[in-house]
Order: sequence, then C-alpha cells, then structure tokens
Amino acid sequence: MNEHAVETSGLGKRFGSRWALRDCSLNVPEGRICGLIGANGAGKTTLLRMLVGLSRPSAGEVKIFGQPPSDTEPFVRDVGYLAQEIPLYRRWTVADHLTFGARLNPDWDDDATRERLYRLRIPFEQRVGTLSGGQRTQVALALALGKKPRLLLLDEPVAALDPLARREFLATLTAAVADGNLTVILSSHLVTDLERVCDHVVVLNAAQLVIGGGLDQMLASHYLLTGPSRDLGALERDHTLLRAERTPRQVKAWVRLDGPLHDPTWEVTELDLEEIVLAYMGQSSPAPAVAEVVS
Amino acid sequence: MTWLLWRQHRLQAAIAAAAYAAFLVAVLLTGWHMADIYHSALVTCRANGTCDELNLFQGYGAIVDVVNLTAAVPLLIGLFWGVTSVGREMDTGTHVLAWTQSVTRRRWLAGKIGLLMAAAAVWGAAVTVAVTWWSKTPNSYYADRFDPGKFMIQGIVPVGYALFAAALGLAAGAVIRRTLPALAVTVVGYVAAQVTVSNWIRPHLAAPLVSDVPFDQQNAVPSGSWLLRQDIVLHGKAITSALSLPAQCAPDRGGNVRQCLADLGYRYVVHYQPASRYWPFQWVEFTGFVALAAVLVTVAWFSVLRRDA
Amino acid sequence: MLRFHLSVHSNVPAYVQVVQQVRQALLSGALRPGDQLPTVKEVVTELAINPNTVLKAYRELEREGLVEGRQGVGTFALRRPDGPPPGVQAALGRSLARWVAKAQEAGLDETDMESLLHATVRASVQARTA
Repeated sequence: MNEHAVETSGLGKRFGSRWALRDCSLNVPEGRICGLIGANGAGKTTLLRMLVGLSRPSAGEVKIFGQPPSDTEPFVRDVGYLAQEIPLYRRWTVADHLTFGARLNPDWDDDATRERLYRLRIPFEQRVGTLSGGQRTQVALALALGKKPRLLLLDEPVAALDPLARREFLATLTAAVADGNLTVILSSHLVTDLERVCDHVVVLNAAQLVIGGGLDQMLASHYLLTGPSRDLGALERDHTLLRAERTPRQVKAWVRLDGPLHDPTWEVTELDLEEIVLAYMGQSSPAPAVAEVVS
Repeated sequence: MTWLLWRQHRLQAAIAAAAYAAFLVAVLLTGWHMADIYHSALVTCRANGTCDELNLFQGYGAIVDVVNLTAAVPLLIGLFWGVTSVGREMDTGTHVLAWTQSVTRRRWLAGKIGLLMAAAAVWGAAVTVAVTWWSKTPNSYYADRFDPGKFMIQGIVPVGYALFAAALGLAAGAVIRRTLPALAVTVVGYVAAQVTVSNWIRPHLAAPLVSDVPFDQQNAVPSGSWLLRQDIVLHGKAITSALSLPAQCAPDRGGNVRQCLADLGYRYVVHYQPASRYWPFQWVEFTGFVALAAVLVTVAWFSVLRRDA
Repeated sequence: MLRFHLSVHSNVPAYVQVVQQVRQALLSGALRPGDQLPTVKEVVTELAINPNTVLKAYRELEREGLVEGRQGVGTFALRRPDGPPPGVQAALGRSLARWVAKAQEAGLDETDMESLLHATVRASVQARTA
C-alpha cells in the first residue's frame, strides 16, 4: 500500500473574505480510523466536504487514493459519506432504502447489510422518519457501509446519540474496519469516544490544522511536566511548549517532546488525548503545525 | 437510477393519471353532447334562417370553466414537478444521499431532467389534445380561438408552456435550492412571461392587418381573427372619450345615423391578425417557449454541476 | 466465551489491558491451552475499539509465546503463563476482595482505590529494588 487514503497539501476554503479552512496539509494512511477533532466552526465539515468532492477547494490540493475527487464512477464508488444531518428519505421505509442501495450500487452487499440492521433490531417496514435518532444513524451508516467503500467520511455521526446508541454505532463501524479494506475519517467534538476507536488523529482549531498523526505516537510524545518554578527558556528551545501554568512555587508545562528530555528535575505525567487536544486549543496562538508526527 | 426515479415520483404519476382520467371523462361526455346540440341547431337554423340569433350552451358554464382553467396546468407542472425535481431534494439534502451511493452527479441530473421534460411534454400534450378536441364546437360557434384566453389552451402552445414552466421550476430550484423561494420565483416568472407574450409579443409576431372603412360599412375581418383594436376614427384621430352624437345626425332628424356619421368623416378602423395566421402563430410561439426551456435547462445543469453542492 | 472489558480512564493502554486480561484468564483457568480466543471482529464488536489495538495485543501475546495465530482459522491459547497455581491466584483474589470491601466502607471510590493500589505497588517495587 503505497498511496495514502487521503493526502492534502495547503488545502483551504474561503467563503467571501472568510477562510473556513486554511493551509491544511495532512496524510491519512489506508486502513486507519482517523479522528477529526475540533470545536464547532473549526473547519471539520469544510474539510470533509472537500474530501468527498461536494465542495471545491479555494487553495491547495486534495488526493483520495492518489486522485483528486471527481464526478466519476470509480470515485463515487470508492468514497462514502455521512453528512451531519443524516439525509434519508423520510417517507420511505428502511426496506426501501435497502432496495435503493442495492439498485444504485454495483458492489452492494445486501446480506451483510440486512444482517447488520437485523442484529440492531431495526424494523424493516417502518418509515425512516419515525425511527429514533440512533436508529436513523444506523440505517444511514448501513447504507454507507453496504456499498463497500474504500474510504468512509462521517461528519459528527454520534453527536446527537445517547451513550448506548453511540456504543452500537462505534461497534458497527469498528467491526466493518476489522473486515478489512476500509479507511474511516470521523469528526467529533467529543474526544473520549475517539480515543478508544481511532489510531490516527487530526486536530483543527480556528480553521487551521494544529496537529495530525498516529495516536500512539502522539500519546508517546506529549507530556505534562511539573516542577519547581523556573524559567522555561531551555524547554521552549529544545521542545514545543503548548501551555504553561504558574503558581508561586510550581510551574506546569504541557509540552510536545521533540527529542529526549534531559532535565531529571521534571516530574513527567502522561496525557490522554483529551488533555493533549485541550493543551493545543488553549494556546493563544497556534504552535507551528506538525503535519506528521513520525508514524 | 430508473428505479430511483420511479420510486420518487410514482405518487405524483398516480395522482396525475387519476386527475387526467376524470378530466378526460368530463371532456368526452360534454364534448360529444355539445357537438350534437350544435349540429342539430345548425340544421334547424339554416332551414329557418335564424342562424344569427342562436343562443346555445347556456348550462355548460362548469365545463367551460374547467377547460379555461387548464391554462394553469403548465404552471402546476412547473410547481409540483419542476421545483420538487431538483430544488426540494437540494433543500432537504437528500441529493447528497444519491450522490454518495455510486451515482455520479451527471447521471443523476440527466435522469431527473429527462424524466421531468418527458412528463411535462406528455402531460401537456394529453391535456391539450383533450381541450382542442372539445373546443371544436365552441370554436365554430364563437369563432374565438385566436383570442388570448383560448389561444393559450389549444393547439400546440400548451406543450411549449409546459416545457417552459417545468424548466423554470427546475432552474429556480437548482439555483435557489430552497423550496418556497423557488416556488415563488416560478409563479412570478411564469405569469410574467405569459403576460408579456400575450400583450406585447404575440400581437406583433407579424404586422397586424388594418381594415379602415367608413362608419356605415362593415369591416372585412375574417371570422376567427384576433381583433387587436377597434377604434372610431375622425380625420385620422381616434376618438377616445365617449362619442357624442353631432346634432345633425340625431335620430329624430330622420335618415340613417350611420350614413350621416360616415358622411362627416367618421370611420371604423380595426387592427387584427387574420384567422389564417392562427397556426403559424401557434408554431412560432411554441418554438420560442421551447427555446426558453432549453436555456433554463442549461442554467440548471451548470448550477448543479459546477457549484458546490 | 472469554469476554473483555476496557477501562478508558486507566493509565494503562488499551492493548495492554487486553493482554493482561488474556493472561489473567490463562492463569485462572478460564482459558485453557487449545481454546480459541475471540476473533478480532468479535472483540471489536463487543468493546467498540480499534481493530489494530486487538491485533497489537494478540501479537504481543504471540511474542510471549502464550498464544498462536493460525492463518485463516483464528488465535489459539498455547500455554499457561508462569505464575502461581490457580488456587493461590483465587485466594489472593479473595483477600483483595475483602480489602476492597473495607475501602468502600471507608468511603473510597473506584478511582481512589485504583490510585492507592497503584501507588502501593509502585512503592513496594521501589522498596524491593532499593
């Protein structure tokens, strides 16, 4: 697998004079589950729509499996998308949607899709408009997975779901990835779900890419250093300081280690993904973006 | 794609078919009956010489109204089929669903437009065939088929209107992408087009003929022509206010009032389009509306494919 | 069927938790040599975690010689890891349960108990190596 599933360079989108996304360069290898994290308005939906081809970039390039998005059969077959509003035909039944999927997609996997929905106890003959939010999301996900895409893009799919529905959704998604041949990018502003499901992470803040790379590498390179109050110059020189908190006696520094830490007087604490993201978001000006933490 | 088009529009098709069936039955029954009445009345009046005093079809107000109302059919096509075809889908976001299900935008749009235009043509033609057949009798009796209200519901132009209205709804929906504004634009656009054509374009498709005769003679206007203006003219100027009878021509003076006015120089001037131009006008107007429809379809095409979704 | 659970807020990485739970199962006899481990898909459906996490755990267990992956069939337990016999394991578990009950009575919640246990283990290991 030489080509990345998704590769962007300098990607940007402007609406009038306002840049919704700017100078975004990232790589997502095939087979990963990539979490796209950011507050509302950070640029997540803008990025996803450009990846699917629903929106044209104002600057930079996008490549999906080596090719820019295009209105051609191979591309629309390979890429699946679940928009935030979960568009479905409200008056159709679930069964109608399955027929829809079967008729429109040459590679439709009817048995697997029916089984998936059956196991989730979703009634086939009910109109989609009368289903619960969680059930509708599962139907939409089943439609997106049933056509066997190589890349699946999901825009805040679990935002409106209760914890049980969220679990079921993520379980369905990870099981599909376990089957092989699927790369997923899902955006969310809830970080805890993403940490258990993703192995690749992209963080956006205020229309810019803050950091992107493998989750393991990210967890292995970001730490909270605690120690007696001191000047942080040396730290800032050798590593990347994200955030600092001072009390009269103590200083806490959230850092990305760009090399080995030589000073043994620091107490080192590991950070989870949420804490890392918060450290990046809490900056008053973004640190230079890192497109790829060595993966 | 065929399945999708059918599944999305099968309810509309059923309703249209049912409405048409009812309409057709009413048209057939009344049409045959009216033709019968007219035929027997003609036989009688020719024998008696009373053909100028015929007074038929008094109780047929209802069917006459229904037939006149078919003038709204193209607009209904534009609203219920044209706007919903693309505009409502883009309003609710379901177009994204189709586009991410292995159907290219191009194929989706081509299928939608093809079905819409075909349905508009078929439905428009079906209604106008029924109306034109039914109108044979009133046309003979009233000789008014060239009048605007009748011209627009008979012959070939209603098919052109249907295609135009459908394309207008399609383009409005494709550009605006919100159902209600698109409906409003379609109504305004269609009515404006009809009013403009009827009042300012159709009368001048060919230079009108003029019949200019002294007041005591009849204008030689063929039956079934479209009278554009009728004026009483004196010394080259039309009389626009109420005509006051000059003293010397008063009826109590004896003699022929009309002859007297004619001698004074009063004339009847009529501008008209002769009946022989009926079909050429139908075809020219039909072609014009079809060309407009083609332009609108192109606008819709590029709006959907070239802009962000 | 061996069932896994995941503690998200623990400092222990997810794949390590899976490795530990398999080792525990082997130690206590819930999993015996020759038994098949749940497939990656089964674990993922149950826990909603990344498949690579499970793969990593199984690879680690394979490296330690505790399990064996057979292409196209599944992953199977090989041997019991070195450790105390099942009886000792169970007794230790019971005495720990008594401690947990006392801690709960004293008002400690799950996080407090885990931190206390963690700190005690660490201190004891440091004391041992000193």
